[in-house]
Amino acid sequence: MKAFRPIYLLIGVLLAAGVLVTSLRGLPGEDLVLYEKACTLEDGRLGQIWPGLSVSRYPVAIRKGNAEYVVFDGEVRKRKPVLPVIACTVYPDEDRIYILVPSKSVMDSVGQIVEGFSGSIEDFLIDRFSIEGKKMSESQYISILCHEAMHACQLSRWEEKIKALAEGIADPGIEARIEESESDPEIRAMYEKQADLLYRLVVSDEGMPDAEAVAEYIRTRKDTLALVSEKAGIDANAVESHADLYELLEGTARYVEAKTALALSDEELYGQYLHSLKETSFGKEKYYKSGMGICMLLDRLDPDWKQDMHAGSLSLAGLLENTGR
Amino acid sequence: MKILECCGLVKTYGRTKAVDGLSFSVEKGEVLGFLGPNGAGKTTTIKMILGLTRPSGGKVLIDRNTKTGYSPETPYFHPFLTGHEVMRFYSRLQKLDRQTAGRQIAELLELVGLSGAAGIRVRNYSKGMLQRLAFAQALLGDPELLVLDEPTSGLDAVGRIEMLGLIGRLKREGKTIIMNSHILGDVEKVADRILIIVNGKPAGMADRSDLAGAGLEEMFVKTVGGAGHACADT
Amino acid sequence: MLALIHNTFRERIRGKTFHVVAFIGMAIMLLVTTGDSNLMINGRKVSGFEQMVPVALSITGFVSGLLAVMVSLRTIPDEFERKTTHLVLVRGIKPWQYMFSLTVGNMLASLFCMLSFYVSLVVFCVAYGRPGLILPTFLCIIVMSINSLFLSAAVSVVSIRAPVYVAGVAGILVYAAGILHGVLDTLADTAQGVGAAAARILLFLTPDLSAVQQQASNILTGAPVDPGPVLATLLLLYLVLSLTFVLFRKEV
Repeated sequence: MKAFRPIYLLIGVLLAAGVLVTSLRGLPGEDLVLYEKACTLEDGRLGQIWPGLSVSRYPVAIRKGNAEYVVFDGEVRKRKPVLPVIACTVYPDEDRIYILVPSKSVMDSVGQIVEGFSGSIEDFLIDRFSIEGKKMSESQYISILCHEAMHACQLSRWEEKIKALAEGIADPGIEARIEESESDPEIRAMYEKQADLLYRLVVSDEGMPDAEAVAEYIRTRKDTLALVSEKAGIDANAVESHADLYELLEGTARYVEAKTALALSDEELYGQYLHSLKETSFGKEKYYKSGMGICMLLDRLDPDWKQDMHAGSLSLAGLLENTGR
Repeated sequence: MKILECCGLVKTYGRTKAVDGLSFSVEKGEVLGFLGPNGAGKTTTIKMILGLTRPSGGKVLIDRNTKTGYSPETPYFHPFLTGHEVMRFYSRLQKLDRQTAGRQIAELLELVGLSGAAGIRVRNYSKGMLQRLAFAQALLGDPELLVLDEPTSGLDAVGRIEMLGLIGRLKREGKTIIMNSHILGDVEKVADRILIIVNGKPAGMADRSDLAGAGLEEMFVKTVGGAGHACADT
Repeated sequence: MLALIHNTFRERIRGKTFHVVAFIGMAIMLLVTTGDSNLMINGRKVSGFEQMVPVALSITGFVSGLLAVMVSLRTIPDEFERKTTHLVLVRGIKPWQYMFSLTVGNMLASLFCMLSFYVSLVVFCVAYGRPGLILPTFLCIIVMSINSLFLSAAVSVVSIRAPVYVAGVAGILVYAAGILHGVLDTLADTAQGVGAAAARILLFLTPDLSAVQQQASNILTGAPVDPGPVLATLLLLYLVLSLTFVLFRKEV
């Protein structure tokens, strides 16, 4: 009995010390391991996916709790979050472009919030109470990191091109009106047709895609944009610029994401990206997919299209159209 | 020699005074009976003596090393245990060594007539059996001071006679006993002194010698103030 | 104290609630581990013993969590109601020793319940000729048991002063908040104002039970185990247990 108090106290001290030591480590080892795995793709695999693509060239701020851990040049620095958001994005700060990603555990939760709340509550609860819940896979996390690295690359290399496209959609109300128009059954049907055509082209047999089918896809895309312009009462050029801008920014990034999964030999995940093309999406998400699909087609139609992209001022759809000429 | 002294004990629950200025002492080897109608404050006084409730005023003076045994009015044991397990459990709490505990448990169960029922779960015991078991556990560890709260409640006529006989035997062995009862005859039979408590206040203290002529019943009725109290269950 | 711990443990194990829930739990384990069921998870049919093991462990964790709450709910209030407290306290047992022992007894009963589920899993491991799974699943169960121990301690401590139903609701809330810790953490990071502050307080008071589960899962899959959440939950368990030193009822 006399020994109880000192032993109990000792247990408390040891536990407190253990918690202190593990919390001082700050960034969980898992996140660093994933960052390093992403960097190992710079052995040439990232360059193949997109020329000049790199993760280590940019400081990566990994947000966990109310802090972000900036990993750069072999060092980890803790600081207060610069942006008050939990998001995957890039931002310029102190003459550098920063990549911001939440930590893996936060991404798991975010994924569960999005999937759980939009799916059934039963699925969400079963997932939370099970020991192997629906967590983001490592390759998916690395792919997302590379997606953001692509945005950093765009920001540093395509500033002019982005500005030019953005000028075409200067009116901030355009985006809302385009999204409103998506409730129109005729427009929805066109988007569905467009998604179906692109999916078939992308998953068709290896080799050159059928030129007629490509032309039909380009026609359908143009018709869709024209219909949106007509029904939403927006200038046709603005609608086109809007699509071009998001396909360029997000489509190429989604393409990098999918190709990273393939570079990590996660064919199941890559298959999921391909399969996602089949389902029609609305809002900005449709451009992520159509942009990615066009990039995949361009890979087969014109091996040098990425260089053209850096050099010229064309959109992804413009490049695709050019390959048929 | 005093084994226990209570000075001006007060216990209040909200605005109600359950015990109001009770002072008495207990000599070593005597049996002190608390007598009073239901709700008079007898059990509250016992709880203060045992340290189960803190007095709102006054003091209980008792040597901390005094070994005390307690038999409650309503015996409450873990129903899943057998009579033997109950005794074993309390002997472990008292840190009795295994051998002493084994011997005492057997003796005490024999003493209260529960040897045959030692292996039966307590939930199947009658009120009388529970009362005997309560008495037996109070005697574990050979305590100097025994506090018995209504020790004959729930017992049939024979059980009551046996229980009072046991208390008498313990008194002869030199145990100090505080016995709480609302049954005049029981107290009268075994107590050396009787403290009558009414509405939490001391209403009178009687020695065995005082009771020789008039009898306790007459004195009690006089003290309590007459009819209405169902306490003359002799 | 050992006598009190032993007695509490014995009472819980002999209780009807324990037997009913333990029987149901083992029956579910039997159904899950005997395979060839029509169990579907994330749209995929789960079959084969290796796939069944994580499912069985998840069920063990979930049922044990609920059982920990149920088993611990009544122990302390029952002691006060039956007034068994009197016969204990007159024997020189201090209130803190009493409450501590009852809480530890509850915790041990919860642990025993979890291990009894595990025993059925071991039987199936042997029956299916997979003895290699016994050690990793055992380690996994040990880590998962921290959650049950915490829930048991928390419910016990709340029940010292609060009514049984309050302790029960508190236990379920702690369990839910602990399992949704990561999600709530993320929501609190994105929210602002009073809601965010309230969420932060709740998160501070609740251990990240889902992170502990994750570490258990990592043991099973061979992924690196982060001791942080496990130690943090143990520390919180220690602090909750320490509350038994200061909490007691005014009237016994």
